Amino acid sequence: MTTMFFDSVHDVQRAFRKLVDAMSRPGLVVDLGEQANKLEPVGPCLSSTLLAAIMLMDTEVAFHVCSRHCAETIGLLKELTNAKTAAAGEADFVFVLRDSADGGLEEAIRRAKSGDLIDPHLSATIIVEVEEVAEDGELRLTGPGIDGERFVRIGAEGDWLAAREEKNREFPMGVDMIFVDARHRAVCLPRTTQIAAREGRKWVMSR
Amino acid sequence: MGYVAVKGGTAAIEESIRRLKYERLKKGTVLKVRDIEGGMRGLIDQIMSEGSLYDETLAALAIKQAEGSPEEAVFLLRAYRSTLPRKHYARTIRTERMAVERRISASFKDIPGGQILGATYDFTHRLIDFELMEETEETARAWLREFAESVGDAGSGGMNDGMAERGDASGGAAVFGGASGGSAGGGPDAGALDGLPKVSDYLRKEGLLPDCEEDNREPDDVTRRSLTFPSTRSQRLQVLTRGQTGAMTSLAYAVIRGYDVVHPTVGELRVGHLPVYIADPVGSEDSDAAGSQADPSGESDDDYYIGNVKATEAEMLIPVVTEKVRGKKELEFQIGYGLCYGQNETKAIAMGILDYCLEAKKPGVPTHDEEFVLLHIDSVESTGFISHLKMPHYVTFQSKLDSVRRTKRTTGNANDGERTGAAMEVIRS
Amino acid sequence: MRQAYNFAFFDEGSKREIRRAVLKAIAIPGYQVPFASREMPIARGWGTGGLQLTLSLIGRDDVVKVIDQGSDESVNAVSIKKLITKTTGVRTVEDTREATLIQSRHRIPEVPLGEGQILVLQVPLPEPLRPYEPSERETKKLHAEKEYSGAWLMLFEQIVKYGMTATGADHPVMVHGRYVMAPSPIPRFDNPKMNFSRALILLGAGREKKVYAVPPYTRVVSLDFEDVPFRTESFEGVRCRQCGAEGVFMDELVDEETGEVYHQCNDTSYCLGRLNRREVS
Repeated sequence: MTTMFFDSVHDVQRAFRKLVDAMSRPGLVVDLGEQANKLEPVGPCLSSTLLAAIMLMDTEVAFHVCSRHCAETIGLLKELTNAKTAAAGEADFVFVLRDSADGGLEEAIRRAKSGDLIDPHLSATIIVEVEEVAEDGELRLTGPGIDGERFVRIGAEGDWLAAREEKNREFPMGVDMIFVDARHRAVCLPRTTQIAAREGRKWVMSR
Repeated sequence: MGYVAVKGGTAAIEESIRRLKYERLKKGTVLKVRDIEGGMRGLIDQIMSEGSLYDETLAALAIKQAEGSPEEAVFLLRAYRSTLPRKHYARTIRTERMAVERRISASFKDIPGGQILGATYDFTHRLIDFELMEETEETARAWLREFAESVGDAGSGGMNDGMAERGDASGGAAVFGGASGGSAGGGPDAGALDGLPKVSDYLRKEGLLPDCEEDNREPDDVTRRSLTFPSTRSQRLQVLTRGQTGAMTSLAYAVIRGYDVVHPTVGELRVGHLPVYIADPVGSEDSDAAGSQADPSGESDDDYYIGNVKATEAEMLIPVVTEKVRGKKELEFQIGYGLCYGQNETKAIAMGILDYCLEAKKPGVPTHDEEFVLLHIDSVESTGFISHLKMPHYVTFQSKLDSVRRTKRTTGNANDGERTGAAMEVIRS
Repeated sequence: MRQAYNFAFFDEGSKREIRRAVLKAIAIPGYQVPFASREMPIARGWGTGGLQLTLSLIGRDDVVKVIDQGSDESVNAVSIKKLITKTTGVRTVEDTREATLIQSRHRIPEVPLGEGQILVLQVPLPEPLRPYEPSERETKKLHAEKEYSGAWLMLFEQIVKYGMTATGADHPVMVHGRYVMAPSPIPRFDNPKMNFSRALILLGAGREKKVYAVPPYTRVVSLDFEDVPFRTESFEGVRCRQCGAEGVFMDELVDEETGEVYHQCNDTSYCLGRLNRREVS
């Protein structure tokens, strides 16, 4: 999985900084390629997904996988990180792979833990593999981290925006999301981000 | 020719550090770590316990570097501990298996296995022994030879590897079972002092102590996940065992002196060595986290013995009035539990008292308030925050000055005394 | 016995735990995320929280600035910088503009920060409600319920007594309209810099074991009342004796010989920058 070029200290650090940028500036598309390319894609996961797993998971956390090849991915992630598995509603990290069933992303969002008022940080981070992550798309983002508005394309299936809106309705509770694509581009949507359609009335969120 | 910051700070610090080294060396004495390890058992035990790291040599080195300051030495150990990766988790240690060197009960005159005074300062007269100024390695060796002969031990028989060469005989030392045992003990009592029954077990059998179900849940680790409130028992015990000896002693003293009506008695105090085992690291695959044990009883014939730790265990018996059926009041005993690395008896007893108080949680009594106790007994945290007051606070102070000035201007008609009062209030807020 | 230390002191497991906490903190602006908080070679209370954040973020390509009370050469700043360079070999600078990571105690630099920078603030007491509620368990409930009347009451009492709010540094702020947050003991003068900052601001309390964040472009409002608005320290009519600057936070000093009171930029690198630019022009 890791090639001999992958540096578990410095490559992880550089990738982490990019995710910090992405989470602080929702809609900013970051390129994880330099680090992800040093990982050999194994099994059904994208190497950016593996990179996120290596960066964030270890024996202290639990994860859940949504995929048609769950067992393989679970074994792989356990081997890489020693993290434990958990049910969808208890996991700290939920992976929704490209080959997850239809409606898999919505389902994952609905079931993921969103913390409570006392401990909103005890909520899941959902890592989603999508068709495409690109700048200047049809989603209009506003909120903390964004100067005015930012447009982004997140090529995910299904009515996940509605599911996300519902889940994040009661700030501070909610879930945070990281999207990656096969070209190692990533974008983050913390729970604070409001999403609307570029034009028109769909997915307008109340606050 | 540009302006640059004067490097005053850097120079000052470097000189300060040199000055400190000078203080340590100026008398021309260089302490050997071996000497500290050999002769400062008390301080080493305290440092290991508060530092939460069992390694006598490292503790001795820290003590040397810190010139004997417990505050600094504990800090060194803890910071070092931060850098160490976790390789294994030990099997649950059962203190019934302690190789006991000292074991007493203040609650009962006669206990199964007997009262063993062992090595303690309790019965010494605290008269400074000026002859110690003339003590030499020769006189020490001669005394050790005599001592060994008198306990019927041919000079070998320590508990720790390597002690045999030093001729250190601990009379009645026990031998461990397990893969690689310690050096063999000679003497007539060898082997008799591990497996002594617990006083508390005897009390349970007699129905004087409520039965206690084993709680095999994985303990919380406050060094991995910070303490939260309400705390769990495992969090409390961990914070207590790492606590600063002085702080805990004071709080427990307050409890027994009258800040609460708690009359504890030492049910059993044990000092000795505990064997440490780990699961076979190459053995059966654990598909889940490295930390969890496949077998809750935590034992298997394939376990590896990796060494032993000296520890002090105190089980405090506290008589408590409880209300039973139909309002009938009964007197029963509850246990306060204390356990520390090294021979730290005062601390273990204090820990037992505080453990009970934090379980009982009587409202209104500060020593029963878990936040009050647990948040203030850590040596590194308390000394750190106090010492941070020495850091420059010019800007915060400047900000306060501004507030003080403005309030003085607006209360210009008030008399001086009032103004000063208001100004002091502002500084306090 | 081990001689060498890890890059940035910590093992990767420790860094991972802090990194997870950082990402959650960014997602919940102003909320204090608990973290394990390892002991550092520097004492608790001396910036271990900020240091743990810096060491979890830092990489070979970073350029680091460390200040204390506005000064790069303050002994505390120097001590922290030494530890950072000893464990990472990373380049340190004094010019705010050149830094990618800035760790600071009790000041936000005068030079406005940009999008490529991260500011790490050292926090002694992360809980803004602590002065009137000693219990951690209780203050967590108050934050959960957005029950901040106590904070307003503290300010109200000051106004009743002195005719104005009398906080010095660490004047509480409301972040993203949801959490009341302790901005760390920066002077009131610096609070407005947090509002819609272009840089990410992370705050770390090592001893109290909390990390929290203000993402860029986030609303940060100092608590005040409609009729008693928030006021910063005034340096009206005051200029820096060295570089002539106005409108920045000043140190007040006394001339040893003349007994005269004079002012100097508290932000030493800002002052030097101005002096050097004046020389060139």
